[in-house]
Amino acid sequence: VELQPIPVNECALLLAAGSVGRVGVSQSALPVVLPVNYAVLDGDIVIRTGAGTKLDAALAGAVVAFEIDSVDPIYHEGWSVLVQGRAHEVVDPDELKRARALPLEPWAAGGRDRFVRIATERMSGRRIALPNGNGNGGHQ
Amino acid sequence: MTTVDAKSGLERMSHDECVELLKSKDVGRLVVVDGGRPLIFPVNYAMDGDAPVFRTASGTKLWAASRSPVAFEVDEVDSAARSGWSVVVHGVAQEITAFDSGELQERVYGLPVNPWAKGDKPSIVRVAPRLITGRRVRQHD
Repeated sequence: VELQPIPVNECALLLAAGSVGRVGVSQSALPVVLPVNYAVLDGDIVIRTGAGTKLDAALAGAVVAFEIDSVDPIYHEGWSVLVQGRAHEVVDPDELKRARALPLEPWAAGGRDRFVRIATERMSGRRIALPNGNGNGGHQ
Repeated sequence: MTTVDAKSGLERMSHDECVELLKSKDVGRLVVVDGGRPLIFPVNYAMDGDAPVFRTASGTKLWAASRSPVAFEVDEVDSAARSGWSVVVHGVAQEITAFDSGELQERVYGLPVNPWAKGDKPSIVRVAPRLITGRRVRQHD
């Protein structure tokens, strides 16, 4: 198994090209995770959420993880990019205007009019190349 | 039983439906909290009943998840159709060792899982589920 780090500038390009990721946050010391639509604003991750949702509460001021990946279902080759940083709700009027202009269509209906921005404080990526993805584990 | 949130259109899936969906995939994401910071990694997994099992190399952050609370997530999202589902297993990650029962060792070592991290001693980790939840979003008009 080869596991290659991806340079930060390449991680940024992969993030800019994607639209679905998973956000993870520690809530009462327990990890919580869910898939989200996202867009990139000045290198940061922006997601759309509704007031009073679990996500909304969990993200307020918390250090969160955001991950995107692409894994070939047969050969199990792929990559993943991980962002870690503090999340905050977008409230500044100018920032809000820019966030509303992002291509962020909410999936679930009902008042998803808030934006949460995750600062890209740490970013890392890795490529996974599995020589034999047939599941035998005998790759050594 | 499936319940639907009238406001959001989110369907809450039953335990059995969640387990069936978990069995239908082989790539999931593990979330662990390391020093207050959550980390997310994709892993190749297989199911031991209702428990996800994956391999990892010793010394990695994944290995550090052993015996700590984790969330394991599997999903299928169709961005264009704005629909999909997500199942999360909340539980405790346990490295399977020689101290575990022979029956359990035999079961998990027989599962088709590959480690994605380099290392000379791949460990096998089983997420003992405490709670399995799932949500489905269908395209709304």
